[in-house]
Amino acid sequence: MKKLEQFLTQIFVVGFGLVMACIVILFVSKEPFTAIKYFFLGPFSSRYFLGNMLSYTIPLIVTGLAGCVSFSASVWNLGLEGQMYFGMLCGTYCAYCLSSMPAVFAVPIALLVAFLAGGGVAAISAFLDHKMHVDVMVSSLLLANAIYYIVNFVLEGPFNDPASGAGVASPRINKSFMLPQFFPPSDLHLGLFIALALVAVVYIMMEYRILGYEIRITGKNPLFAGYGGINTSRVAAQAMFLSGGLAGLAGTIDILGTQGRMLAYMSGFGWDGISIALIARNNPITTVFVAFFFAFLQKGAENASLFSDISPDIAQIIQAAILFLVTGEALFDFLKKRKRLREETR
Amino acid sequence: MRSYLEMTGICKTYEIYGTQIKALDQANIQVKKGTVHGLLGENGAGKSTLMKILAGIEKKDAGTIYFKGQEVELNNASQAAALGIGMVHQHFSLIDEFTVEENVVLGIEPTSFLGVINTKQMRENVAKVAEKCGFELDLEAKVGSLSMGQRQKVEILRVLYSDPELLIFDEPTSVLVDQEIESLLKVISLLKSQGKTIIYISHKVEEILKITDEVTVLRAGKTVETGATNKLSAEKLVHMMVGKYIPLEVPKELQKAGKVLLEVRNLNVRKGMVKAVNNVSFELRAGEIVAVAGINGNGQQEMVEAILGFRKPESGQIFLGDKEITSLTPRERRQMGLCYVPEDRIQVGSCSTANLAENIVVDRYFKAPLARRGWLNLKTMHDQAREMITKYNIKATRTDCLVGTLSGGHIQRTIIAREISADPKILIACEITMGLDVESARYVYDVLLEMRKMQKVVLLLSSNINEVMSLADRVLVIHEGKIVAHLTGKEGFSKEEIGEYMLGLKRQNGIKLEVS
Ligand SMILES: Nc1ncnc2c1ncn2[C@@H]1O[C@H](COP(=O)(O)OP(=O)(O)OP(=O)(O)O)[C@@H](O)[C@H]1O
Ligand SMILES: [Mg+2]
Repeated sequence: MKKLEQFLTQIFVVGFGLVMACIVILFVSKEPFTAIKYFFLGPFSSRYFLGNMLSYTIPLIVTGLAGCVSFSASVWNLGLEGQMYFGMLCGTYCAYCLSSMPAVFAVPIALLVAFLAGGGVAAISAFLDHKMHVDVMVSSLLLANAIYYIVNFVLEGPFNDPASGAGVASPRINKSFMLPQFFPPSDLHLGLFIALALVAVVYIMMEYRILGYEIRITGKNPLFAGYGGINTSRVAAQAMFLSGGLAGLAGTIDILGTQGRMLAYMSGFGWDGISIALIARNNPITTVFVAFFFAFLQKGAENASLFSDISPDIAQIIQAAILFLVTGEALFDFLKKRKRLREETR
Repeated sequence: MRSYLEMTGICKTYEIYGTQIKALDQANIQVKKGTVHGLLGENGAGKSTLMKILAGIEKKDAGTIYFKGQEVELNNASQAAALGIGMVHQHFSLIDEFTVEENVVLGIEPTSFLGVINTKQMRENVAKVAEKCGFELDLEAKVGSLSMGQRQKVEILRVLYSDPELLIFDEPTSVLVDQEIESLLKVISLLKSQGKTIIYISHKVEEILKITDEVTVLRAGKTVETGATNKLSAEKLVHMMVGKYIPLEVPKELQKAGKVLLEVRNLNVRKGMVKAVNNVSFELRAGEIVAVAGINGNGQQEMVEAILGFRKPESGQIFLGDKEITSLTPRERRQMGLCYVPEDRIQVGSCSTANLAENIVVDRYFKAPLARRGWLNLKTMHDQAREMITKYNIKATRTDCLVGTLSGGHIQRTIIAREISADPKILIACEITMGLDVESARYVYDVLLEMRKMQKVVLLLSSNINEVMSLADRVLVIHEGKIVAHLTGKEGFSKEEIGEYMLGLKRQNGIKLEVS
């Protein structure tokens, strides 16, 4: 019953997104039907577009997972973007430094470093919450904003490739470190399987591991968890660390699979991760589909902008609208309860 | 001529993962105008469900409802409210962040210019209703900071404030102390004399005999008996409720207390600015049941929380056996055999959105045989849950049903099942029989007495004075955070005496806290 209801809301959200897309296009385009056609069919029209859309899905799956882990514990990690950005920088720098190593060692080390870096940033928020009762939601969000500038500074200066010129970027990492691309001419790469493996890992952790049980129970009712003897601040910190770590991995996997270097003033996967996890209701498996849907919106919009007169930014508009719809729900619950109380005494 | 209220052939089936649960199966009830009608039955009989249908909160699958001679469709709560039907729920639905008065007036706030809430008016109105009921409440306190008993009063005020003509009370007295119950019953009589009609759900025999004119009994979703109360004896009433005779006397054998199991020394606990517990010392010995008596909010909750490790004491020491546990975590204390049934069974004792098995293992999921090397053994977990369902008679068809779908009494049984099955040395039991039907309450008494026999110890916190009188070997009376009296069985204690100490009218000098 409840499950069905959830599924229907998710379908509704997707439908809403698509309808929104059509409406926005109708408003902004002079040739709306062409635009709509490219929007919906473009991403599927060739191996190249299809592969790139799937490739774009990869980091979204991983940031979505990152969101799932912390939100399951009712820890509102809104700083996925910052954790990812910092993880990316550390991962790329590490890969760059290890240039002379064989890839079998260098790549796992770079990924591990990215995981620890992202987790480390998240741990700061967890620590502030535990020691000084600074809300994780606030501290992680503020940190994300600060990190954005710090990392860009590093990419502009100390870790800059002068050859990149105006498109500020880090030096390239060793070509042999790149994850193999297997769907030419697109840049779909092996990271897809890493992401799916992470989905399995997170799913199994949440359902079959002690920590997963602790995270779920703490998220559902912290008073009950504490009563049962669960150390809720430890669990919250663990969830936060894992979440940040996954975010850190997300960006680094993308770099190892597509660009081969880190571009400054870029990204956004972290922000999307928040919406994806919320829509997927913290379910790792649903996350895959929602991530795909987000990638489709993005790539559909890019496609439509290539072949007609609209701007790719409409993807953001639609995603923002969806986010409003979904985050409104927490508020709904409160309003519903209030409404029920009101109704009973009308 | 139809009665004032007639519900006939009401059916309601819930479905959980494909399993059908028949909550109501052709239930009937007829209520006359201006009477107090008792709705009785064992835990899970369908009482709350039937009343939720009448209040428009649940939808019936079949059946008809006649109200004041007319057939009515009750699709939502506002339709029922518009007809003048109001309900005090078994489980509170108050908003923690709002104050008492805001919660009471919610939805019908007195407004002045531009719809701004008229705070002064609101305060006066609420104070008037509260006074009428004889409830002492701080109207400006946030509901989140109140004890269960106080919340119950807020919930009652809410409904009285909206002034319906048919009032439903779903177990309103399970956390109220004697004096409060007294005044609630008075209010109900008053309402009745004003021509209002009341449906009253309770498991407490004395209340039912005292207040109701007629009773209807449900069993497994069916109406099995109805009748006038004045023809019933207490024994007969119990027989009607649970379908068998239950002796009301609790046999307690005399027994000598053993060695000290728990000792509290000079405990001080602060709650915000208030000194909630003031220099409390006592000891509990093996083979005892010790009651803590006190009006809600006199520090007993804070004291218990400090003993269990949920609240840091300001100073003082706590010993379990001869080991000091003052700085141990709640889990370490639990592992040493300290178990707890909390008074708030919905927000603390259980997790409504987790399933039965997950609820039952919360204190032991991390140890063999439930877990190994960080992996949960889900099969064992569900097997254990199934065992508990049978052993403790929990009405749940599946071990993966959410605890929130169980009836109030069965949620309580789930909590008790978990705590008792942990085989505690020391059980801190707050309102342990809250919401239980007579038979299961009796079962719990037997379990507690068995623990006593096995040289364990029970610290009993209960608003039910009869429970205290029939179970406790000793009574510690707490008033404003201090222990003001220590009554031992030998000297004897009476209800009245305990009451006087509780209200702070009397105080013992030179309290002797050891038992010789
Ligand atoms: N939302 C629900 N989903 C599934 N089953 C439910 C739901 N609500 C109630 N039930 C089931 O319906 C039956 C009747 O429940 P109800 O709450 O009416 O019992 P009750 O007579 O009020 O018992 P108690 O004295 O314990 O409060 C129970 O078996 C309960 O598990
Ligand atoms: Mg009930």
